[in-house]
Amino acid sequence: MSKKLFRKQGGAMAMNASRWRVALLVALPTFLLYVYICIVPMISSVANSVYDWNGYGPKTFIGLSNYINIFKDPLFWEAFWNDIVIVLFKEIIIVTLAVLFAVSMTTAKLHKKETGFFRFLFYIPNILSVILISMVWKYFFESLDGFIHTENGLWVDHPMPLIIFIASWAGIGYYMIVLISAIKNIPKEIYEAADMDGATQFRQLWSITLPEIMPQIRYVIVMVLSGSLAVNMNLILPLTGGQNHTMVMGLYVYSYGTGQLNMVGYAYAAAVVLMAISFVLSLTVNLYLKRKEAQ
Amino acid sequence: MAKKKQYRIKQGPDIGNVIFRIVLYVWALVILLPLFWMVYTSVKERGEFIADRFKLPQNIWLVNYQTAIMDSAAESSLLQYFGNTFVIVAISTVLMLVMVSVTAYVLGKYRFAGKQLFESFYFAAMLVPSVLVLIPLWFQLRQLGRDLLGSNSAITDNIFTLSLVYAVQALPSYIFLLVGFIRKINDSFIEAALMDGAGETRIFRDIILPQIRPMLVFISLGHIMNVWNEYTMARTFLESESNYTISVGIQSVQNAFTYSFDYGALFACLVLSMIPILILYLLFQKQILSGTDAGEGVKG
Repeated sequence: MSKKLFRKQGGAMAMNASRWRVALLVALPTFLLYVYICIVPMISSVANSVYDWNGYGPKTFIGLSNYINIFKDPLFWEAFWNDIVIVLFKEIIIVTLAVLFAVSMTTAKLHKKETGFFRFLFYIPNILSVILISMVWKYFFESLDGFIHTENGLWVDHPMPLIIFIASWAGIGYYMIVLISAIKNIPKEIYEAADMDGATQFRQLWSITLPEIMPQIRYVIVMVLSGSLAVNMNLILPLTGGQNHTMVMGLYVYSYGTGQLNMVGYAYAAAVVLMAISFVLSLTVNLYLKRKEAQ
Repeated sequence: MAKKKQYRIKQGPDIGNVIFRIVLYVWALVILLPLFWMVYTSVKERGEFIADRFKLPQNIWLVNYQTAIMDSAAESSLLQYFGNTFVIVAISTVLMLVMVSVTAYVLGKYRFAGKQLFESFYFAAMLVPSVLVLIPLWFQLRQLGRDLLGSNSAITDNIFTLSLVYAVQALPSYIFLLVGFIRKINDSFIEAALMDGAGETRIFRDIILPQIRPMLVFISLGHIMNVWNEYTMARTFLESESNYTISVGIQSVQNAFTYSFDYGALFACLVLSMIPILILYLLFQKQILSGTDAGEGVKG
């Protein structure tokens, strides 16, 4: 039986001349390009992070000095804490609001047109470019300075809450729709049974809906977390450029790498630190998800 | 039937229902407000904007759009940026589709030694967002330009390079999506075709492609929107104005426009930059939102 099965699989998957051609002419070049564009930069940043190097001239080996200097740099720690603060608040805001909106969309007796309108509208921030989002909000808050009086303007005095708000604004729609389809998949019988027992709507929400969509809520938390290092950088670069204490780690690497400082070896070391953080983060998250799936 | 009726009465109009509705309309307002402000400011006359930044315009001032397109303070016009972005999106999407579908097919349906290794290589980079390797990649390609063509920016300051980089960096997650899908395709179709002596081109075109077409549409839509909207990498790679994408172009005219308080023209640029994506969203809303069911696969 197993031998037969094996032969059968072999029939469909066995290599022949035509297959080798496809593999060698298309898949292999693709793989090599992928290695050159995605893998080699990672390796080369590790390899070059132990040099004092301006990106062009000769390299001087300096051991781990770049790394030591990064960990001694207060700006790096500012960036580190800013990333953490942004992620933390984003998680709280996005999870709370995405759950609230998803529950509202499924519980409130909306007209069919209303549902369609909200679904359409709430996802719009997700399709807009980071340039459009950052510019509109940047000048919107700047214009609010005429109404809200702060010493040096909102963007100078309180940039972090604005950034957190904008990042959350741009992200909620996608997660809300993920949660809506999760809620819709809960069997109706559970609610009907609860109804018969006289459970209030609020009670049903608390003891049925929320526990049932817990896996998807966890998914939202994980996605916000794993995308954050990149998202924070993409948003803050056009918003403040890291000025006024809004530096984040991605931007820290970027400013040393592209600036006039000629500290490319240093930028590489910072990139390695960042990649390590992001690698560990995703690995932990993936392992956690896998364990949950296995349970 | 009676049970159902009882269910309805209980769920009738109540405070919870009203609160939920209010919540949704408030958020709708939060989303619409800045966008609405952007749109009406884009047709507001400069003097009016300086007098009051939030007041609705007295009359529709379309000159802003003319300013945005014609003399956007920069040497190259907005039209050029649009053209560049279209070219990048087109090339990158076609390249990505070919590379993703063939690679996913090879990984999904071929058996050769070391396949597992290739696969884990692809998924390794999924753990690190591509923008985080931007700086090392940029220096690597500049070095290549220096070695091959004798100029730092010969390779990086090029819309074809950027298209290729976008396509290749999108590979891991899209291959990941597609491989699982291709594995589920029944082997007996392929076996039958092989018996008939069909070549790989025919197997791919007649058996694999029809099955993965909806998936490819979904992937393409996501890729098109990502590439159209991408900013950080384009800003780093493209140095000559004649190569700018729409995002980089708008960023570069920003200072000139805000310096002269010509916010109307700046916002006109933003509105124009949004239109192609908005059209795509209107046409393919169902397909675009279908991918958000991804969370469904996650079970507790």
